[in-house]
Amino acid sequence: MKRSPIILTCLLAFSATVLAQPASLKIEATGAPELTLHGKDARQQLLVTATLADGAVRDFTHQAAYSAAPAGIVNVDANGIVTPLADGAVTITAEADGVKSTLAVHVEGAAHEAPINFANQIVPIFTKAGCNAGGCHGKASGQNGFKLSLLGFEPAEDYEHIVKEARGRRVFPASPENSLLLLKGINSTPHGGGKRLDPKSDDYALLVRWISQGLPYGQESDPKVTKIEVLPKQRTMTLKSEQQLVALAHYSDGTVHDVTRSALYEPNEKSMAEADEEGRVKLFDQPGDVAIMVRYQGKVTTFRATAPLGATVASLPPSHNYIDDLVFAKLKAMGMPPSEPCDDATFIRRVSLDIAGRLPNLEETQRFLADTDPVKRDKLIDDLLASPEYADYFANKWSALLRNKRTKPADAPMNFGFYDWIRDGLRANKPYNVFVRELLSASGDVAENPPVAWYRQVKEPQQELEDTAQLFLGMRMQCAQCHHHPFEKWSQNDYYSFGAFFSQVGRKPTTTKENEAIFHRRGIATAINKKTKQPVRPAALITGPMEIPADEDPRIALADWMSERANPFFARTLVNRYWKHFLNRGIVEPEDDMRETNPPSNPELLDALAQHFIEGGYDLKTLIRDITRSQTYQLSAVPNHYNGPDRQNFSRYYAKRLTAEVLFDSINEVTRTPSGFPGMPAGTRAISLPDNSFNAGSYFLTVFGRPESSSACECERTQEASLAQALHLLNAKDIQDKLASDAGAAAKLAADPRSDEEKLRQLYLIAYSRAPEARELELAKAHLDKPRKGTDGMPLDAAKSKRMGYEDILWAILNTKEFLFNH
Amino acid sequence: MVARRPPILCAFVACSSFPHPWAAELPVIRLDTVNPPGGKAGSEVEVGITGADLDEAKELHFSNPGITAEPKDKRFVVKIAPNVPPGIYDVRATGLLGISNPRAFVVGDLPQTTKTGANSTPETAIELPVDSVIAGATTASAADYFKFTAKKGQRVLADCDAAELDSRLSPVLTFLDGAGHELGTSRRGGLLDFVVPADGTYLLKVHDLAFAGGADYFYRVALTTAPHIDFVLPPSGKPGEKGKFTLYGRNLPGGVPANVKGDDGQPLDKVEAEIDVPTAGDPHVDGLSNPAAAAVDGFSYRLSSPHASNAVFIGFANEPVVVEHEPNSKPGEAQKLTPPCEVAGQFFPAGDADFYTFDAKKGDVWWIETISQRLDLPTNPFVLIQRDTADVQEAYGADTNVGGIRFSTASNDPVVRFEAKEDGTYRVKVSDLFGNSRNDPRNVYRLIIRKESPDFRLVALAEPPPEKKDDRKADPYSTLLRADGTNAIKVVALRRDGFGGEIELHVEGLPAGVTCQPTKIAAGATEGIVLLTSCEKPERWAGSIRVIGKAKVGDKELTCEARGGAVAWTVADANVDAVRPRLTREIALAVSAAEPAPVSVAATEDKRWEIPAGGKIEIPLKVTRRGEFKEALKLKPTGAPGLEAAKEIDVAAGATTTTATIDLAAAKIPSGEYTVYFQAQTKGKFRGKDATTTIYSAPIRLAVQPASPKQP
Repeated sequence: MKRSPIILTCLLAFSATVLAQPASLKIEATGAPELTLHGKDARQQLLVTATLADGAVRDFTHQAAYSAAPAGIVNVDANGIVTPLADGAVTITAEADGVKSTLAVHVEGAAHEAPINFANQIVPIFTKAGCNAGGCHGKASGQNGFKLSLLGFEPAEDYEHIVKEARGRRVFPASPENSLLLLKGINSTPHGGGKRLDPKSDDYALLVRWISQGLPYGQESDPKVTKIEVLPKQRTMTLKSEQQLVALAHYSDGTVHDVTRSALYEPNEKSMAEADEEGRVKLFDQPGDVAIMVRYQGKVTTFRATAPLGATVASLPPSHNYIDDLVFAKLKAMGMPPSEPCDDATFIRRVSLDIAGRLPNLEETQRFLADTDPVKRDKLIDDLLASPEYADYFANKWSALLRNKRTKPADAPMNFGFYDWIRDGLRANKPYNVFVRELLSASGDVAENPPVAWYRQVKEPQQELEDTAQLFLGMRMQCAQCHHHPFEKWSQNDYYSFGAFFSQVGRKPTTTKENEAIFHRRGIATAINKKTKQPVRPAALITGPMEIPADEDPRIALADWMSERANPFFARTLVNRYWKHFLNRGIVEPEDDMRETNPPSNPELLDALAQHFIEGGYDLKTLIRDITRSQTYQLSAVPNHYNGPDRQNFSRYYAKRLTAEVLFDSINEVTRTPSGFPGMPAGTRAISLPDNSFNAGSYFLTVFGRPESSSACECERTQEASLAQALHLLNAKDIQDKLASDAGAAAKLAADPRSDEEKLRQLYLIAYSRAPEARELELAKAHLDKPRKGTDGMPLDAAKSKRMGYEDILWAILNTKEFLFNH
Repeated sequence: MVARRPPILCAFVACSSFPHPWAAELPVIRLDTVNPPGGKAGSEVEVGITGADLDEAKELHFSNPGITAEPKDKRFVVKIAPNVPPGIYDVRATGLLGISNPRAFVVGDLPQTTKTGANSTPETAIELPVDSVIAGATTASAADYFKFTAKKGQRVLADCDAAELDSRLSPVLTFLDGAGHELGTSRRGGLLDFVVPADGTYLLKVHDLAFAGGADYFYRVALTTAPHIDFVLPPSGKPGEKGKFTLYGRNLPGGVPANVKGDDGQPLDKVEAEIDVPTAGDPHVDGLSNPAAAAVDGFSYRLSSPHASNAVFIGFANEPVVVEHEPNSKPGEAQKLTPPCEVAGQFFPAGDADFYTFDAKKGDVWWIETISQRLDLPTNPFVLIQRDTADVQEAYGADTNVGGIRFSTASNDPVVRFEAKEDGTYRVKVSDLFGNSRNDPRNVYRLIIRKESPDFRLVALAEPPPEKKDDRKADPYSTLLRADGTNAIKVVALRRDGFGGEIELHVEGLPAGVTCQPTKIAAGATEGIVLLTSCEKPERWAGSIRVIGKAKVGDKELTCEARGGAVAWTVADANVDAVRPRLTREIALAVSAAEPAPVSVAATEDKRWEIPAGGKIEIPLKVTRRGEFKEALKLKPTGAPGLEAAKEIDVAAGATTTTATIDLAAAKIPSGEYTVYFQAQTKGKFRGKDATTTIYSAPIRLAVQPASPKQP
């Protein structure tokens, strides 16, 4: 008998809280065997980890009892925070359930108050208290006349604002506690932001001391934070359990200090976990992976927690390729049994929609379902990849991302040319790195070289760098234009250095003033860092400044770097983007936000996909083949008893609503009422439209979220459901016209001499790629046979009644989730 | 009186569009389409035309006298003499309102049919046998389908002429197999090369890039096994000598694999050829079309067997030609040159840069010119001159536009004057700014290093006088001279190697009753006019004329016959929509016997007016008004330096005489011989509609003599 997931969850929780008996304990501070505390201000969060009898590892920091011998050297509170009392050597012991662990500690200069460094010690207080957040004093205009740099990235400016601005009225060294800065902070003087500081806290005391010391800024030679580290880095945790984190700052003088209470913590999946100000992480009841971003002084790192479901994965479907090996390994580790493989009907519909953006036609479905060839799924994938619709569908995707936007009617040839260039490349399976190189290094007139159109849409180096970073490297650099990226390591220097690759893009008018040709302007590529006003050389995020001679187009150097096998961003971004296209969720989500603090749910899978993609010569069709051939892709969307809540382990296929274009075409297909688009040949489908200009004339495409090609973000396409969409499908005139069309499916089915059962079977095969179930058939036949009355109340004749019956059935089909979703 | 004939629209022709709703300038005949736009040599072909103001358009005028036309019903029967060589010629319609702008007309040697009926589905595809041509126009939102049978291994080329025929079409060609699968597509240049994979029936699909269509989207597509030349090396030869050339292309008779692929990825063949380079090109056929190419001399060449190939342009080289030797893509591999010389090179493969060196002595002056984009290629040569590693000069393109917004002569080909500041070896780098991702071996260049040789080329522009200052409208146009009227043709000069001298202009080939006073393009100026004046009762005439410029460089007299220039289509605002200017194969003029000029202004005496410098002269003028052109006039004097700033001469409404007073001292006109004229814009009614027109007075010969020395 299968256990219910509720019972299982309770059992797991019980086992986590009651049965956790430590077999051994380990007490840590910085990861080093011994801890040394320097000076009066030193603090250290301890970390106590228990290994249980079954080998599982649990946090015992808050369960352990602490003692220090000899006494009087340090104090250890119940939360495991050590503070120095006097110089000397001491041993701290943590004990739980009779098991002990010790740590040797040395205290030096316990009476010594070191001069305070503003940037290292004072600014983090404002960051932690939220004073310099984007919604408060950190916004560009400041708040009520007082401005701090966002998240404290510019300490020198903050010092100026606090100490010197407004004639120094914010600080009062003669009576530090009466400084406006502190009175506002503790809310004793009315403060819009309320109480941000506790007058009893260490932070408050430090601020008082800093003011009384005469507001020192610190010396240029004072150490600076070079990186931060979190302990532990990764942990497998039980649901609803807790983990204390220790945040350590590494300084340029080689010292390491505990900044646990000054750092900021934020989970990437807020539905899975929370973290408090003191670095305590608490998991909720959702299994999966969650990353806690730790930020301090512009440096970031992450703690990754894995919360397995813990069910027994007794059997797995046969692995088809490396993808399955890695997904199934993760599922095993998570204790999350995958759904069953999907049936043939589901597969042909799913893969046709995902590769070719269309429903399989009746003949294709019948042939596929009847085919007994064991490799028929692989063959179908190959056929779809060879079809022109594959190129149509993916050109539609790329055309939007590459901003192929119609800004005026006269631009039509440019839009068509660019679209055709994209489509031709996909059809010919042009290697992805070549595609990107041709785009980024595009030169000349758009009529001769269509990808120049991209430079017609993104006109400034900053826009060019932001789109390039987001599209091809999965990096959102926008924040770093004005300030250090808050969730990333990228600084303004990184931003402008990347922009320098586009600094030599020359433009010259051709046939009209607006029609510009693009070329490389000879010269040493540099960009001005708007903050420092200093010129910076081109650098691609991690490369450091590149030496690019004046004669060489820096855009080519950028494309070369992207194509390097070791590039950590380029291939991973693309495979993640395509993975999401097929599996409805990126391994990194969102797919174009691949920052360090947003780690992949299955890093090995992401790496393997990228590696295969690179080794295969950036072959997009091979990548799609790998993904769609995998058992993972071919799993059923129906959850089993365990994997219902799974949103990131790909234990089942995550159903997705058909995109605006695909749904539009599918409705036309089922209702047999092709729609026309102005200026396009008859029979043009929505997935084959070259640009956004057709949206304005189609409420359907607009309401279902077809993008306007205004950004490089996939998010411009809205896949959310809305009331307007539901109402449109239920009773909009254009849908009703399709159902009632004399040339449409209902009229044809009603006039078709075959039996209703035959016709219904065919209709189901067209709409769902499956035969109707007996119950559905019975219901539908009964509906068709029902006598009907006209608007005049008189009984309708049999032919009209039948047609109306078919209209109803078609209407019902179009409004089913099974039709609206790819599943 | 102005002839008040009723508008005879569509008398002989099918009109695709109406005349202008307003008449900014008095209407002249406009030709939009000629269908079919070509025919086979030695055949007769029936053509229809569309356009505007086609009143009494009963004649077609071709730039080759071997092509003639007779009206038949509302169409024309065009007879092409067997000896007319294959090529692209110009055709113009002539009627009551003059001679039209040109349209291209192709003479070929393949049988030609004209598309009739719909062929917008594979099922309705029209049969198009291999080695034949069909002419048609695309339908909006649709494609044209043609079917043909071919044998396995045949290399069939679909060659679609459109832009070169002045069409608005951007052709996309696709070959499909019998099952409708795409076998190949061409979106650029109208050539699709296809090796037939198996005996069978195939389809050729033709449509506009943006699925536009209509009569203006005409084309002429050949399905052929005839040779096609992609490019020729060197792209220039010495005039009057037999030269050795290598032709690269497809289906070349006797061709061998060239081990190079065309920009469509298809392999090219090559064949060596000895070609007689003539001493002068024939401007009446083929040739380069972009305005800046007026400065490029050369001739058009076609391979003639078994069917004529496409035309390639071979330039005239005045210096010894050397061919680029790869590898020369790095400074250390630079190829040594001995100027004066001309290098024939290629921007190939993608990102190619070529390095050359030459020695120069301090004070040596060389003009370094590239010719590539002007060969109708999508290139932008960049030239960098260095000494050791130090930059001396760099050039991105010649920005000089002497033709204005409607006829821009700016080109991407740099021309620089180089003066050696010290003895030494100088290095020249040539690369294509547009070529970093283009693998197209057709992108050749000529790098000329020559001694300073001042010269000039002229283009006579067919454009109406601007309606207002900064007018950005462009219209197809041709000069119509009305009886007793004077009209002006703008002539622009492309000056070479710093030539700044004065250029004298005159016109040859004028009909009886039409005269031209010699005029000048002033020293340093790039623009002038020629003035043509009709007698009171001329014969109706339409034909080509020759505008000749003469100048002196030292003792040497230079003579140049102007090319014609025109725009192909109306553009309301040249800043918004691209103008389509091109060189024409003739300069046309029409003289109207039936329609007199609305206003004629002339000196009462036809004489040479003599006046000492600094003096003041009064010239009595006679003003003849016709029809409803009775407004007051403001006559603006032009034709001598300083005169542009002189006061306008007022003529009262309805007045028929006036006196023009010219104060030479005030205008600071130096001594010399001038052709002076008056110009005014006036309003009236033409055929019952409000019309504005610019009138010119008959030219007045003014001799300004040196002031007599002051008496002591």
